[in-house]
Amino acid sequence: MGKNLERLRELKLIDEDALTREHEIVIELLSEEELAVLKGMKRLFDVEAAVGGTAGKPLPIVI
Amino acid sequence: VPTASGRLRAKLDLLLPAFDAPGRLLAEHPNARGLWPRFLAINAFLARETVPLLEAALIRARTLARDDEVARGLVAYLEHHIPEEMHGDEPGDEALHDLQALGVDPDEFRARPLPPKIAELIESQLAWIRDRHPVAVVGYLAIEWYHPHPEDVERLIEVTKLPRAAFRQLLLHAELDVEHARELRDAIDALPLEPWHEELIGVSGLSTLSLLTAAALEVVSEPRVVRT
Repeated sequence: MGKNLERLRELKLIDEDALTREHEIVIELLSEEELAVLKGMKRLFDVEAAVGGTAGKPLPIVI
Repeated sequence: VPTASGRLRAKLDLLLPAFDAPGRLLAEHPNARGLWPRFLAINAFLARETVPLLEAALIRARTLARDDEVARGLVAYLEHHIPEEMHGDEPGDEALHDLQALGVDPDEFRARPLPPKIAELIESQLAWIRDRHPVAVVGYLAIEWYHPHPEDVERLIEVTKLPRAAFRQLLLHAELDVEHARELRDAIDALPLEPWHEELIGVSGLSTLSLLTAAALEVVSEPRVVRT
């Protein structure tokens, strides 16, 4: 297991059921600063399994 | 992943489970009708702030353009894209019209301060534009890749039983952002980005998705109906 994935797992941010090999590869490519943004989600909202997986319904927010 | 846009998309897609949650919760919420005006207010705040933000990036990019090829490419893209983001005589007009359809006074809304999460989003973008590189704003614009689809908007109209006039901005973007998303992808891939540019865009994009998710979760997690 890569270091970035391990750190996100410790925070329970990984959607283990939906995690694919492609997700794992991208997670390991993240820089320290990008990883810090993902870890910062714990500050913004208390949600588990927020990383990896797929989405079904886009957020009704646009710019 | 062979392209810069593909690498950015792969990073941002990591956040889809979180980004998906508020929209799903809204569609399933027993008080979706009461919550929609607050979602719409987020859209209206973003619409109000986006053009000034892009203009700040354009001004900075023009300053750097003489010696910076990425800034030059960004100038060309933003000069084309900013008019497309106006949607009315003043930035955010169309979202204000939607709020007006729900009884909100536009003048009163214009005077409202930004909610904290939206303020954090805009302020961080301005800081990256000023202190690092204006190409950061490309990460903010990547939200256009995750626009709602027409069938999702129709479902919201059905669930909320609110007038169609309160969804015009969303219906328009469900169509328009297909093209905007393609233009953004092409613009990113045309820029001679170095790894540090891509990292900055990645931080900007991940931060944008995180903060918008947080702002939207605040709406769906509060059962009370507040003023619109």
